[in-house]
Amino acid sequence: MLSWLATLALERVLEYLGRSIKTAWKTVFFNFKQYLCFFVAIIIVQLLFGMMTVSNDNNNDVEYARVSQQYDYHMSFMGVNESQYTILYNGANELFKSNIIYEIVRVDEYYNQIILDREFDVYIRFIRDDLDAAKKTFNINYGTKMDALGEYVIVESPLMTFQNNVRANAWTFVLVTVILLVLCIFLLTSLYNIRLNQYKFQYGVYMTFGADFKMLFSTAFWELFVILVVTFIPSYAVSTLISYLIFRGTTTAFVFSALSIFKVFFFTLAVIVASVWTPMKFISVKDPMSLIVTEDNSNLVSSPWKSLSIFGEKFPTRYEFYSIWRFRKYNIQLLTTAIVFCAMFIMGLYMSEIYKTDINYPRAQWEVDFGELGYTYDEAFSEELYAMDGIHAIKIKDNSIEAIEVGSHIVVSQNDVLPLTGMLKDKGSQFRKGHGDARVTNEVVYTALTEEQVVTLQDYTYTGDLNCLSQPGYVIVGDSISNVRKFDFQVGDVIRIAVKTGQVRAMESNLSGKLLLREQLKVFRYEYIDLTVGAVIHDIPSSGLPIYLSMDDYVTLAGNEPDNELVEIYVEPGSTIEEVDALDYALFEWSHYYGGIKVTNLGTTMENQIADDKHYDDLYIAISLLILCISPLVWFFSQSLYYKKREREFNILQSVGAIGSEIRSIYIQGGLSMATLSLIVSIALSYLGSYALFYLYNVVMPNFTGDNIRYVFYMPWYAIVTSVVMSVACGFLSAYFPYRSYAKYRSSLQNGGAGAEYGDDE
Amino acid sequence: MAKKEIKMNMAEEESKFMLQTENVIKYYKQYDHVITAVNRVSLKVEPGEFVAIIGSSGSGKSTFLHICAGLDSCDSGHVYIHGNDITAMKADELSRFRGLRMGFVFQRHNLIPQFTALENILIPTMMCNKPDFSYQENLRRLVETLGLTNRLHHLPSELSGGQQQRVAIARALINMPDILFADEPTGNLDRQNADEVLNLLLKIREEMGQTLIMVTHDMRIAEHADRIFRMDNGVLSLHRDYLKAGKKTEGFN
Repeated sequence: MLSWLATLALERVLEYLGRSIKTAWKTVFFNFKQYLCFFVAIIIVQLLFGMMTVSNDNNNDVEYARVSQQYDYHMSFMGVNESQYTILYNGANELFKSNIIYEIVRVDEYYNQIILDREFDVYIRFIRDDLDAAKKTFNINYGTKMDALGEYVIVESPLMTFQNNVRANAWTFVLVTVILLVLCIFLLTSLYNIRLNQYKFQYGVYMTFGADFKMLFSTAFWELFVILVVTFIPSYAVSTLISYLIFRGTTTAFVFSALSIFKVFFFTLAVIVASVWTPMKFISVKDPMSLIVTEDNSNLVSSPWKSLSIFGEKFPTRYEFYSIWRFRKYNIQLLTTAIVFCAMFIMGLYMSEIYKTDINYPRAQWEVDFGELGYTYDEAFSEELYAMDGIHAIKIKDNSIEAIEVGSHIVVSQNDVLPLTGMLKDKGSQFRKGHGDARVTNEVVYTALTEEQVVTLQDYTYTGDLNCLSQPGYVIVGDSISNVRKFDFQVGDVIRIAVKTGQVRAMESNLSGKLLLREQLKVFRYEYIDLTVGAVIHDIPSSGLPIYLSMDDYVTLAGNEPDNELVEIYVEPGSTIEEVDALDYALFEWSHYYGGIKVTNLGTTMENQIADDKHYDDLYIAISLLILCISPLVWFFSQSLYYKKREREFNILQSVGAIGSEIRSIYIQGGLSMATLSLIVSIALSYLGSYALFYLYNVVMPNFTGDNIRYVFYMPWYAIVTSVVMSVACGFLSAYFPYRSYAKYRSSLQNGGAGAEYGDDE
Repeated sequence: MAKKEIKMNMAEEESKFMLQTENVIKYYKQYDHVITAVNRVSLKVEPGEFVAIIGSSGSGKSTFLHICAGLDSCDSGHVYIHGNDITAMKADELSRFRGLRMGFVFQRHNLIPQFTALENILIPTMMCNKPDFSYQENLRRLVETLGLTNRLHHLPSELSGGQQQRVAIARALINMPDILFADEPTGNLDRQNADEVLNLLLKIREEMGQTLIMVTHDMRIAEHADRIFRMDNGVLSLHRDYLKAGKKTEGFN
């Protein structure tokens, strides 16, 4: 009985599938031209997902190859004493081999000058695959015993944290997939809406004869499913080929995972489902008659009061201008949909640039803490460190103080402040009286800059003399707050720094921003230091406005000298991993000599190398180019359907006296108008899109990531030109080609298939 | 779903009318003007009855027919098909109800150009997920009666106007609906074709016993109805009642 029911159910399912696919196949291939754009769109969707998926498969391998090439150990134990080393040694040489979970890769032995005893740096590698479990076992069996015997430092190598990176990669993949999903759904939904707008009649008929949402949805779904099946294999092959070309230069062999085939298929399937869901839901709640009557073209003819003078001097110019207004909803939808993909193309290229900037941005390779045993970074240390080969700069980290911490603010001339920055007006300081208004801000970070530290500013773009602080009364300033330019300082300008000397009453707590500054101005008493701007740095990353002071001015302001215990070391740009390794070894030798100076390798060179190996910049370019292809697709698909619909209107106009050249003018004027509009819209959208990305990366993201990078806003001119030329060309040609086809059709009607084109009867 | 079915059946038992409308009103807004296309129209049609609605162009007769068939919505009032209030139904429920219980013939055939005649006829079965065996017999009968046997695999563009309309009639009747709505079904045909199509329509209706509501401006056609109503500026009034007079519907010669 059960098997009979199962057979029956299977038969019904197969019958349903067979009928649905057969109908969809017939619909799609009977109207191949009508569905051509869906073929292209679905190929683009598959290429996008294919490239992302295959790239992600390769990213993990690339990263692992790089990390395992660089690191042969999972954990290192720095500064262990002899007893602790013995525990580690015995652990790696257990009597029962089955108990062994790690092996010792390397041991560095040295003499600590402070404790006057031998110390060891021990590097171990787990021999089990489950690193988390191995680490846990290690802590239970050996870690607790070692902890009881004194202090030491444990460092986990990137080989140990690689699994976390794989997880991070997976999350990045999920995020990018979601973004791509949204983009692809937007693309297909837009195209499907265009189709629905032009073919409402068909759905109206379906609904008249019983089609509900489920049926309408499945009809549309199976149509796109047929296209998906037909295009899947070639699309996947091409996406793999593109990914292969992108990864060709990397050290690892190209990875191909069969699972990615299913991923791409199901991603595309998800896009199809989501893309037809909304339009069909929208259609299914309409009255069938409202969909069917759109076929009678009555909405396409000008209203009589507008058409009265259509054959007077105002025809066809005024008529077509009016038509642009008449179809404004359609035109706006077309312009925004088509051009938004151009803007995305530019944004993609900008992303690629941002990625490259990110990789090449100077980041500290080591952090050195002198403070543990009371050392301070001074000239002697500086000389020793700079004597090592490959060190580009050493930047003190703890030589800064925020204005809020010391109750300070600065007063600047209004001329030095860019418009719309929303800074408070100065009321009390009488700064440069008679020279116009002054502005006040406490979003300032003061840094004590020694002569030796000037080198850390030389990589930025600046005007003036960075050595000006050697003379009294000078200051070096940035020009931005939170990476957004807010000042227009010139060398020679004067700024006033307020030094808190006391306060008249207790201050209200829990204030921040402008409210806090207002309250401080009322409550605090100040003395002022007027300083002349000796140099302006234009592209330095900023949270508050960076102001560099001489040590004397800094002490006046902060009350004491900075700690100077924590420094960051930067390697020479373009250093290889081997050079960084050599320097790393030298630094650790140096720190061991002194003892108590803690050197932490931040691994930035390798991280940058891995990021470079992942070729996201190339991937963004490939994705951007694919997205750019969508724009003409939308233009030509939409406009061809639009003009096809309007052919009846042109036939009517011709039947009442319009001549062929006038009809041609209608097409050409329509095309030129759309080209002009698209020129404006494409520049505007591209600018907005790029600026939104710039703002996101430059201002919003640093609040979450804490990464101190300053990006430059610019419009990639080659991309803008490509986008504008494409939009203008599409705007015009998408009207001109339908005209050619219409003219051919009319001439074949008039002359039996051979004869004059439109305009010959002029 | 089961609950709904039961509710419908109960409603059907309670109603003796196939079609019943109560104070149906439909407005159109054009610029600043409000046009009342259908003005408080109430109508009761018994099962098997043939009702013709006549009136001049723009009188609101087609709009009223579309509202009765659930193809258009009204601004107020109720439409019952065999006791089921279609104005209270949700879009999906109404679509499925329309597909199974109602048939519609448009003035313009409204065939889907890329489908063959046979595929066009079968659209309602596909939309209502009917299994093959359930409509085969009816299909054979309709095709034979309407003389479409040799035209089934032709596209609409390869058929004459009369043939296209016959395909549209077959499409409207394939699911054996209880009630058939026809909006000037012969309006686009010449007299000979119009007579032929109408004869077939009446013949099939007689065989299948459907209720027929037809909108026409041709009094010659309307004369064959059991009752004739006139629509004037959205207001419906009884023009003639042949049922009371004992007259039977006959075909054209």
